[in-house]
Amino acid sequence: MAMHQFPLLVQWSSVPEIYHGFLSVMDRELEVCIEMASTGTGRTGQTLTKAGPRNTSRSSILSGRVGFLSGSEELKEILSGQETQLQQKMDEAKDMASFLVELVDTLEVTMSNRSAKGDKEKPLRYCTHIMEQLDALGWDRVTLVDQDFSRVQIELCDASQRKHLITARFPPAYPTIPLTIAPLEIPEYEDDQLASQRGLNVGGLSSKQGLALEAAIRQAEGQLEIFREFWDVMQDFDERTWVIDPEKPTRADKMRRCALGNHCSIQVIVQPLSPRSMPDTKLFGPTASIAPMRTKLYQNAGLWDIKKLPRENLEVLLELEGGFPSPISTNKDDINVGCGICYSFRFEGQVPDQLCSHAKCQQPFHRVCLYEWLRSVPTTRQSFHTLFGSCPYCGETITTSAPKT
Amino acid sequence: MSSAVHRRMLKEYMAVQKNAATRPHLELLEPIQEDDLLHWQAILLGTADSAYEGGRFKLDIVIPTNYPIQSPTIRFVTKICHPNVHFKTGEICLDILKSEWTPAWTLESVCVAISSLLTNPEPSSPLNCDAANLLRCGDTAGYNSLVKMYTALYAIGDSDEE
Ligand SMILES: [Zn+2]
Ligand SMILES: [Zn+2]
Repeated sequence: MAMHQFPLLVQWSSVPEIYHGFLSVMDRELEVCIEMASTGTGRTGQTLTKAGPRNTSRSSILSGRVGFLSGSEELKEILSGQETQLQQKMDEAKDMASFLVELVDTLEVTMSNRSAKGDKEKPLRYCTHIMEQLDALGWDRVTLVDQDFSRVQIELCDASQRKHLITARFPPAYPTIPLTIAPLEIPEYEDDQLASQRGLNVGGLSSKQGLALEAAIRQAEGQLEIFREFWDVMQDFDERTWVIDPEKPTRADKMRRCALGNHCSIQVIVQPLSPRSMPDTKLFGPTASIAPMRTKLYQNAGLWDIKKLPRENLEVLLELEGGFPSPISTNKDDINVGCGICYSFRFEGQVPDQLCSHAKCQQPFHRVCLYEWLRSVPTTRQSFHTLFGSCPYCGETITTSAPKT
Repeated sequence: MSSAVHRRMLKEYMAVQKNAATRPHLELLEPIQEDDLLHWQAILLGTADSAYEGGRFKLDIVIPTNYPIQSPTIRFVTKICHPNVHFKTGEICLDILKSEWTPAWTLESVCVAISSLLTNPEPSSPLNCDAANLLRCGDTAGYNSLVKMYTALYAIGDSDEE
C-alpha cells in the first residue's frame, strides 16, 4: 500500500521521508505529520518530533517500527484511551500506509460513536459540573441545552407570570473560567442610586469568578422584580389598546404608540422605575382632532390616580368612553378590502399586490395607485425606478416601483 | 369621468349610508344630484355646549377627477364665524385638506374633522382675523357672543338659502 491513497498528505521531505497534511474522517480534516522509519532502523519518536513543518500545537501520538506519528491536539484527544490498541496495530502493520488505513477506521468508529452520543470532546468534569447545577435548578426551567453543554437557556418567571429567557454560556475551560450570562432584556433607566444600591449594572449581569449558575439566576430574578410593575403596565397597553408602534415591542421598549381612531394616536413613554406615574405623552393626528384631546389631557391631569393603570388613567383623562379602540374595532372598515386608494380589488386587470410592510397596517394597494400617490407627494424621494415615501394609512416608509406600461 | 374615482365615490356613498347613525354631528352627506358623484353636500350640526349650538351649517364638496390623489375642495355655504373659515367665501383652513391630505381620508372622516374644527379653532392660522383676534387676546366671552350672533343670523331656522 502506498501513501498516495491519502490525497491530503503531501510529501514534505524525502530524507528523512516525511508526510504532512490531513486525514479526512467524517467531514473533518485532522492534521497529522508522519515520519517513515528508514528501512531497518528502529528510531524512536522522541528524536523526530522536531522534524516536519513547524507547528507548536502538534504533539507526538505514536511511534513504532514503521515510523512516527504526530498530530493536532484534536486528533490526540479523539484517540485518547485507545493508545494501547493503536500501538499494537502499528506494531503489526507492515508499513505506514497500512497503519494509516487502520487509523482512519479507528477514527471513523470513535467519531461516529461520539457524534451519536453528542458529547463531542468536552471532558466529563465539564459536563457533570453543569449537569449538577441544572439538577439543583430544576430541569423544568431549562428550555434549551446545547449538544455540547456550552449554552444553556433558562426560563425565569416573574411574579406576574411573565416568562423571561436568560442564556448562560459555559466556556470550554469551565469551571476554571466562570460562566457568562447574556443581559436580560430590561428597559433603560436613569437612577444611579438605585443601580448601585442593588448591585446591578444596566448592561446586564456580571458574573464574578466562581459565581454559580444558581447565584447568577438569583441576581437576574432580583432584576425582574424591579421591573415587574413596569412590565405590568406595558402588557396592559399591549392587551387593551391597538399598539401601532413598535411593531413587536420587546421587554426593553418603554414607548407605545396607541391608536385613538379617526387618524389620531397617542405616544406614551413610561418611566421604568415609576411606571404608574403620568408618562410623557405626545398626540399625533390632524391638528383639529388632537387639539381637544391635548386640552383634555391638561385639564384632567389632576384626575391621574397612581392606583390605576396608566392605560385606565389615559382613558379617564381623554374621556374615551368606550376605552381605547382595539385593533378589531378600529381596523379597516369593509368598504376598504381592496386597494386603499381606489377602493377596488381589480383595477386595469391588476390586483392590489403592494402591501404596507408595517405589521399592524398591511394595507394593500395597486402598484399603479400607490405610484401615482407617491409621485404626487413632494416629500417622496426617487432612486432610479423606486419611489420612497410614506404609507397613506400608517405613515411608515413604503416603497414602490414604476408600473409596467 | 374617470371610472376609478366613480367607483371609489360609490363605495364611499355606501359606507356613509351605513354609518349614518354613528356620527351625530353630521346630519347629511350625499351627492347633490344622483348622477353626479363628484359634487356633494353636507350639513354639520353645531354641538350642544358650543356657541354654534342650534346651527345647521351646509358644506359644498367638489371632488377632483384625480381624487383621492388630490384632496376634495370643501367650503362652507352657510355663513359662519370661525377663525379658520373665510367669512365671505367659506374657504376652510385645515391641514388635512392641504399638506396633510392622504387617500386614507374619506369625505366622511374629513367632515368629522371639520366638525371638530368648529369647537377647536386654530387662531394661529386665521382666515377670519376678527374672530381670531378675539381669541388671541383671550376674550372668550366676546368671541362666543360674536359666534352666537352669526349662528342665529345665518344658521338657525329655515335659512337654507345661501
Ligand atoms: Zn388601486
Ligand atoms: Zn401602512
